[in-house]
Amino acid sequence: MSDRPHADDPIPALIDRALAGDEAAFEAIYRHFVGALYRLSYGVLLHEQDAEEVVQDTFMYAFRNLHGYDPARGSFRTWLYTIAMSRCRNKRRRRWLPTLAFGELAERVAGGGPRPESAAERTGVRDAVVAALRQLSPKLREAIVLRYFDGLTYREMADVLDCPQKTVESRVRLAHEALYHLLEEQRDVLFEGVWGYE
Amino acid sequence: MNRAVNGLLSRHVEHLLAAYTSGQLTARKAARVRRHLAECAACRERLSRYERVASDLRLALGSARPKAKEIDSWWQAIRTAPVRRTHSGARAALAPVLLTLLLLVVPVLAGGQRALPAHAGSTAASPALNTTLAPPALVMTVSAPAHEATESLALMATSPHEHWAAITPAPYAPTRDG
Repeated sequence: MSDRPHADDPIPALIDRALAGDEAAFEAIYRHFVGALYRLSYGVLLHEQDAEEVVQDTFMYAFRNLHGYDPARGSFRTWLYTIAMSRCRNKRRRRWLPTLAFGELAERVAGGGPRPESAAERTGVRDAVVAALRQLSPKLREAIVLRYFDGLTYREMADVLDCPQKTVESRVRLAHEALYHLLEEQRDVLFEGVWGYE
Repeated sequence: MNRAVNGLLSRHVEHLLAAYTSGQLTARKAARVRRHLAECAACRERLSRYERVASDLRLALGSARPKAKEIDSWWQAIRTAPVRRTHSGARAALAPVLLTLLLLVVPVLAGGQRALPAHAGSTAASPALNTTLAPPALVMTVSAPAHEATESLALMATSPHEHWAAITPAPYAPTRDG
């Protein structure tokens, strides 16, 4: 299960230096992983401020418990992502109606169609994907984001999500299928909008 | 044997496509998927769906990145964060209290058992009881967490290097292969 570090992987040496109290090593580890951790947290939470807080909490916890990291049990990045995923779940639990943004909630309660600005927001791929991800269940969203944010293997994903590999594969497959239909619907809406303007 | 191979070829490979697109299949399974795709339009359509979603996701997630200024400010927040007492620290603070309680309770129980027959005839057990209930033990347990809190505040006031040395516990030599 553990993936051996590559010979050119700087992380093991940085961890050793950090454990010896070298602040520069802590910073190097932070800068190495901060982008990926933000992508993971944002992809799962779809909320910028929450993602920022998760990133900071994750590093603070990881650095204070660095002595507890055991390389024999998995890679450092898997350990870090496991901490981040745990914090994402805590954030989600604390949020009221976690899978819906307030704007979407208002639309649904009112029973109306999308607001004019919503259609405009969906012109970008990122906005379309974010809107589609919001409609996935938290478990499917976690799986599909883990799959694509940093190229984790299914084995690593199973470690991070603490579930069997087959379960991860199944969730990724279901998320793929759901996202395909959601994104196709949005493309249809977009094309209708484009034709409507002409 | 041939029938078994033909059976595998004719079986749809939808369940393998996610792993196939990410290059996580063994060479043998990947070859099987390729053979099947060559003859199955439905699975080719599935594959194109996978690739389309994967492409959109990579684009969307890849574009979610913090600005350099944010990265710097988060780092400042992390490196200057106050040292908070962790669960293990709280447990360590509770240890003297529990030890004192143990020292109080065990002799009392033991003394009680011994004292019961003695109480019927004499008061020989009461000196031991008085010793275990003496106030100095309680004073010691109260002072331990207070001392620790003072130490934590002192740590927060140290230089950054000392701060890192303080939050990094005992030197650790990981047993890493290779």
